[in-house]
Amino acid sequence: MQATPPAVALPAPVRRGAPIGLRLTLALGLGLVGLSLAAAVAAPVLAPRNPEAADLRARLTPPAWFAGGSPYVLGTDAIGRDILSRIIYGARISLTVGLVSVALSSVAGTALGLAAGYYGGWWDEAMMRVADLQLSFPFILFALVVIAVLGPGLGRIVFVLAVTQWASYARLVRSEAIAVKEADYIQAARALGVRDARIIWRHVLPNALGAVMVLATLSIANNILLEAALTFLGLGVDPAVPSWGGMLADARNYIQTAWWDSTFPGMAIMLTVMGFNLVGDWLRDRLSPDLQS
Amino acid sequence: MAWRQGRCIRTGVVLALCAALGTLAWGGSARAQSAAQSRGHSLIIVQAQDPQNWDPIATFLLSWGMVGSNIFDALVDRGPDLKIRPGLATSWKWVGANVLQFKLRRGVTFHDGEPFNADAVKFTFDRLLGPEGAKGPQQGNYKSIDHVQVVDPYTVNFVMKEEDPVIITKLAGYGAMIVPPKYVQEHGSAYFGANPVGTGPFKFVEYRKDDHLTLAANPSYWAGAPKLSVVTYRFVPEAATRVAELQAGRADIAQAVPVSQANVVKNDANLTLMPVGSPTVTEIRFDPSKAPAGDVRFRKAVISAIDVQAIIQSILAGYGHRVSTFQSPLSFGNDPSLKPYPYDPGQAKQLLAEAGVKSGTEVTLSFPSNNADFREAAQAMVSYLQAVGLRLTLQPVEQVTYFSDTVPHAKTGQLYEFGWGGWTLDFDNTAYLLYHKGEYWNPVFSDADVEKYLVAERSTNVQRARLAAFMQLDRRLYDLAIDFPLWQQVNLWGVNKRVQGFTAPPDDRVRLLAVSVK
Repeated sequence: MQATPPAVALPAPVRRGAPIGLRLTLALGLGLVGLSLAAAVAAPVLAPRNPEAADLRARLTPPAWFAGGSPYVLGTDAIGRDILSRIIYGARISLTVGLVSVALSSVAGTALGLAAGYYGGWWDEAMMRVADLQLSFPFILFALVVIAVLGPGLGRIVFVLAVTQWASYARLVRSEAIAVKEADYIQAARALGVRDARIIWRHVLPNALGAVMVLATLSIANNILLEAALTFLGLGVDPAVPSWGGMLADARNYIQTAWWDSTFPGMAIMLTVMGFNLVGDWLRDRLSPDLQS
Repeated sequence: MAWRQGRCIRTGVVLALCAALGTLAWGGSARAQSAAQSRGHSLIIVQAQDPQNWDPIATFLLSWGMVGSNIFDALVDRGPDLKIRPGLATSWKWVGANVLQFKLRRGVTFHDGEPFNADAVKFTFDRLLGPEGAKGPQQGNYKSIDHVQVVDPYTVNFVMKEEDPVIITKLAGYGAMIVPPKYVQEHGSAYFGANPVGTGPFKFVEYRKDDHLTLAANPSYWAGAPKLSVVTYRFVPEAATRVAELQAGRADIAQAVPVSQANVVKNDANLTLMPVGSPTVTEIRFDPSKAPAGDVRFRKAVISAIDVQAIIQSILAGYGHRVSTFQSPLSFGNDPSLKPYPYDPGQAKQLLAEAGVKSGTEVTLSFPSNNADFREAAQAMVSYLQAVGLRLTLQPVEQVTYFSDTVPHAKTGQLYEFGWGGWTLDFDNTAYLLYHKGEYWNPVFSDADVEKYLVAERSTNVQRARLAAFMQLDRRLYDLAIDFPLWQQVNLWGVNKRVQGFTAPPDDRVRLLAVSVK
């Protein structure tokens, strides 16, 4: 029998077999993300030493492959703590901040954006003006003010990041919602008497989700960098708690005398951020081709 | 899209940084020296802190003295050798049991042209001891003075309210700097605080808050014209940046080089590292109102758990001397027979058990966030205390907030860092302001015996009796372990080799009159 051609032309599938280069970068991205996730989850198992135990006699020991063959794989910092162990534990702080802040801001932003885009009217106006206000405020200034008032700490950093980023999600989702809500099938659903909540949940949200996921993945990378920057400035976590930004802050006086002290935490930040960026780029190509310029 | 653009900019920045680093490594040191040479007779000093107010009665900060000692003069002066010499007064003597008479230097004028005379001295001390002085921290140092009498235009009498064995030294202090009466009355204290006028070797030119302050030579200075033409003080809180500025030739003198960068300065062909033992002592104070710091066993446990000598040897690279009470060996009132509590973690554990402090108890250590050396020491302390079962949380606080709010209003953790200049080199000033209840720096601690010894020490001018009272006080404070004295500081100054005649001052009071450049 001959197959009947479909009445409506299906959209061409998005590049089914990705070019080999793209697959390699994805593998690299996933590998780096997986590595940092594994470090965060299994830190007590993976870390060779207690990250907070200092040995002043072994301060600034160079990495193991240097003459003398130190027992510390990546060397020690200025008060004799094992750099490798601190990097492994530091992944916990970085990933916690990155993931939790993005989860909070993306959920809140998506909910507000859906409501604004779908219902429109004064609610939409008000929401978008608040978002404009939020986006026009310099991040570091806002972070400085909040932390000066509340004091430094992990929770405060997550809060600051979440509060400053919900607006990007709200805008993105709102524009998707506006585009979708006039579509025939939504009109049809309405005519059938389907409740708004159900329409939003079943039809509008799934349309926006791709773009949200792309933005979220790239934001994780960005937020990890911002956490490191805030901690470097002394606005983040307790200096004794191992965190990548904090390690860099402690190491800055030794850049000229003990390069390993700053290089390895710097590489940890760079590789993790790169991993999330690579995954984010791939997601964008897959899910939301219209975001490419 | 914004992301793409962002990435391009970021790549650009990284490339630019690499290029900059490359140039620096390549013959950067020769270039740095020519940058410094090109400034000629103007000098740039980078210091950690901006004292914010240049009024001598409104400050207690060493960072004020670094600048103020060049703008103002007092009746007497204490040089880098810490000896008293004549200043605006040429001679002085006791003319009665409680009257100290000064003969004043003639022909001296303030930078605004006002003449210096007995009226200026009287105005200065009326202001210091009156309501204006009560707003600042300096008045407390001078409460032993009842009033100043003008005898003739060039003679004044200081009438004392009570005995004050260190009054002459105190008259070289910040609060006793002579200010111009007409200028202060005309413009008010707020304006004066931002536009200071004195009789010193350099005149005030310009001040930008948290950025810089500029001075110009006062060619008619009474002790001869300075050799430098312009001096700029730049305020750079970040220690690594100060050293970088010095290396790049954009500064001639850097104050407070952190120990971690001492070798960077020492190994630079254009720079000299100048260590100077200072009367400044660093300690950890306990706030007894916050459990478990009210228990002397807890305090002694913390002291026994930390190997201070090891911290001095490693983190401070030996630039520090262990002290047993909160004063340097230079201080009158120091008891050399008291030895610091030994490092003994076993003893610490036992004391904690006796005090009923459970393993894993959290305590907090507050400290000013810009103190790079202490920040490292604090992290080592986390490890030492972990070994005896205490969880130490570090709380770095922005330094202005720390000294204006956190410490005086008892908002610290159970432990907090405290440094003290001890500028009179007599324990009286330190002990009274730190252990007498209700003082600005002592919002919480009080002890009947301590108060008794403080009164005993203050009620006589007989040095032997005072010393005996200090010995009792030292012993009592030592037994109470209300603080954990760490070390007498050795300050590190980084100086460009083109600078001649600079002496690193033990009390941070930079003197530029004799300084010149090559």
